[in-house]
Amino acid sequence: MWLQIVAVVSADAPEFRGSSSQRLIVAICAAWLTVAVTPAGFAGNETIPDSEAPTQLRAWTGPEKPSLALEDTEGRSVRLEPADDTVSIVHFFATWCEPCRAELPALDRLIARSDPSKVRVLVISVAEVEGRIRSFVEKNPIKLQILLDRDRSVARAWQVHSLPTTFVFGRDFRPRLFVEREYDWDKFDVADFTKATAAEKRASSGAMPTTPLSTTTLLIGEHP
Amino acid sequence: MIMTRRDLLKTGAAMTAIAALPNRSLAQGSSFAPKPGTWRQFEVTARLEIVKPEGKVQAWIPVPSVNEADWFASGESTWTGNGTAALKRDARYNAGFVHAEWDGVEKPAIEVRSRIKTQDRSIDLDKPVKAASLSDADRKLFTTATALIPTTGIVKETSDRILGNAGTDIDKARRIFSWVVENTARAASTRGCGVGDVAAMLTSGNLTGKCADINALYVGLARAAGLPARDVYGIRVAPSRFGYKSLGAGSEVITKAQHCRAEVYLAGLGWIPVDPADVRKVVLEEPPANLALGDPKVSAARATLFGAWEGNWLAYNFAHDIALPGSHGPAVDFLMYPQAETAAGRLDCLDPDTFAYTITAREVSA
Repeated sequence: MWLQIVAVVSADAPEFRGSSSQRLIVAICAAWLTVAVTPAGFAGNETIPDSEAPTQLRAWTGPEKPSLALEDTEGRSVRLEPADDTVSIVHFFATWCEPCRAELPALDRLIARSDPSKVRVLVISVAEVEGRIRSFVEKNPIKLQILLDRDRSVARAWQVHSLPTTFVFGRDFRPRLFVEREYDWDKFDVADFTKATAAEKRASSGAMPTTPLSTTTLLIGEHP
Repeated sequence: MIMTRRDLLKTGAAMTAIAALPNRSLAQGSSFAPKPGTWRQFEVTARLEIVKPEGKVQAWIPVPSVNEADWFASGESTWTGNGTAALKRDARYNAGFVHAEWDGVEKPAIEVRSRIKTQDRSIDLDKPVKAASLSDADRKLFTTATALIPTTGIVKETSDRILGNAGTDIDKARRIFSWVVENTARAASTRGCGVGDVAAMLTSGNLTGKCADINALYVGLARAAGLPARDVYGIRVAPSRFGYKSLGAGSEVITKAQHCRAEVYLAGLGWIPVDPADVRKVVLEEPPANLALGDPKVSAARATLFGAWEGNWLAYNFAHDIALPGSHGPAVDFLMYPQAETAAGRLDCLDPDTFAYTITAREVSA
């Protein structure tokens, strides 16, 4: 069966897409549903990407991610650590990857339109040399601080299998969403995401969901 | 072409049903027929000048390190420059490189000259010979995973799916070759020769790239099947004599002509040349471009490049995961390009103009 919908009490959001109201509903209701897209022979968080379908953020149901400490292109050390009230977006890319290059400006705009105390974006170049990143930034001005995963150690520890890959962490510093293709970050609303994860937290602590289950089922049914 | 994993699954299943795959006998009479017997000698010169030296500067320039009696001989490498330099070798693969160092030099520069002899290869796959047996150490080396070529997980799953009921080693080697030819694509936008991250290619379903991607995929799938296989990292040194513009160096300046090929070891036949990446290059680049797999020029390349290749190319080494002595950076996945480092970090070896380096080749009389 291509799509299995299993009603369980869970803290995992199946996806995060559509209008802002839809996104909120889906995320909230995700506390009550787990969607497993599991083609034969592949399991876990994996899915078969469909190059024609719009890219979606999907629920991260895997383990927590290890901490990371990397240098940026100027040799400054940057760590990913719990930070109250901050949504963290960790983005793995490479300058040789065409979709990655197209995606970076949208991440740049996300930073520009967001309160820096509410969201941070860590952009990690995988297995590229300093010289390459510098010349890329000279030709493609972006404000994003680029970190260097020179030997792929962080990408491997985070089980990043393809580029671009992005993880979105809630304010509780738990990975909530991920995407293994390019994503249109102009559609991402930090406030909606924050509300959704807060509602999910309330639900998982025993509070009743704010959305009827039937509505949820309809939305989940849109999953490819 | 960007393939999804769904496509891969379908194709993998379909491929296992293919009993007979094209072989080189179909190419008999075609114009692409490399024939051993004529050795050619080339001198290759790499010139480096570090444009923005900061602090201590180091460079590692690969030199030809392959010696195979039937098709390639690495001659002497010499160098001149304004720093200190020494010939060093990777302990695992014996890959040679000149390690140069400069401290406080305003314009660090070095020129490395290497001589090689090479000839066409063409193995009669229907006639087993007394090929040199593979030592246990080499069998282990060339069936073992590397940092970017795992032999378990999705690589093994894909290999098993491709092989199906293939019985003999040559059947296995052929099926993998056909699968790679039919399921990958050369991407003109890929930088350099690609990365060669085989697991990432299969996991993402994006099987596009260049030789370091496509031939590494062949090597990984073969190793996962238990067949010794190896990438051969090198550079094209002369035009093709068989009319394939895409399979040769366009001029004496070969700065961007790096190309890696591959080999698979078959009992009774020895190391067999294979180059599915060049089949995909013919598809993409031979005029009028974007040829179909059934185009006669593609068919000839496909049939020839399993068991033969042209001797218009220099082989540097078979090495993976090379730690550069004295470097502050990570090991390089393969050593096919000059590498250099300053206090500001490692330079972009795929940007020879700002690095800067040039490589030239000229044919010399033997």
